[in-house]
Amino acid sequence: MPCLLYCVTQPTPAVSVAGGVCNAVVDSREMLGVRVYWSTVQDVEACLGTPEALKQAAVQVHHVLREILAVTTPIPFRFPTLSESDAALEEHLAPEQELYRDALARVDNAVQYEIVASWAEEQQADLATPVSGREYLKRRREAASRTTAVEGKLKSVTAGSVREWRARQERKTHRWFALVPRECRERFLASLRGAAPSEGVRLRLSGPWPPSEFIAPRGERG
Amino acid sequence: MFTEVGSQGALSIEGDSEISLLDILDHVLNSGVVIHGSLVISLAGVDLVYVGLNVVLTSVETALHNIGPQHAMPDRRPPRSL
Repeated sequence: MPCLLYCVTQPTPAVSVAGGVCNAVVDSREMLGVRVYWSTVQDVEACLGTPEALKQAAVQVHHVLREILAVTTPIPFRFPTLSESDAALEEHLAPEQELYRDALARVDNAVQYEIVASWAEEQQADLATPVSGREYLKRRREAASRTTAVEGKLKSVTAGSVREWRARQERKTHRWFALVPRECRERFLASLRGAAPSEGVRLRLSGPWPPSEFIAPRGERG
Repeated sequence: MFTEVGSQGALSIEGDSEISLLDILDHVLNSGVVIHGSLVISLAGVDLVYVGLNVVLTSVETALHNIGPQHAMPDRRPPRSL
């Protein structure tokens, strides 16, 4: 019977989850030094075979991960990850078992918050109109300068409550990921709320999320 | 789990315990460990997801498109694996 994989966590504690994808039971088992969570899916086509079913299943996976995250730190599998049977799980996980353990140690007892910055000037920019190379480089420098200023401010106001920062530049936005120890969550949020405003930037904070952005060691993303 | 939005750099609570569907789909579909093998197949740089036993293959982008254009992803993260 096929299994839908949710995540791996440290072997303990084992989290009891109310229900999984397509109301299936969420099972977990310790293997290879980690705990694996999955659901046996009776009818894969019915559960994942249509766009609406796929969307519902994705949301259900999110709820499972959220329940687990409330207790311990999961490393999720990208949805949908299927195994042909629970007996085959160990075989699939075995090749990367050390990396799972290393990643779990790195993100242990921490959660991920995300901050997305967008700039009014960037949002209004007319990308269809060609600009000179000099003007383009000038805009790039200004954008980099703005990003650096916001990043410096974020790191400054949250100093002491973030274990690690990572970031990614996107087309019109910049996204920062903060790995925050559970005991520092309130301090982290309070420090952001109390930060003085920055002109022209819109910041959007979401979380806590499973620390997916910190799975790979620094500098080894992708 | 929540989302906060602030203008001018100040953060204020937008909706406690509310995460948008877009956020959820972005994280669930677009991040996490990829197990190499027959479960997730990459072909010419495109992730193909083995969805069913009857060989339903779809790309992540196609799955998102089918879910609905209003939930289209703002950007495409590179595949990540352990």
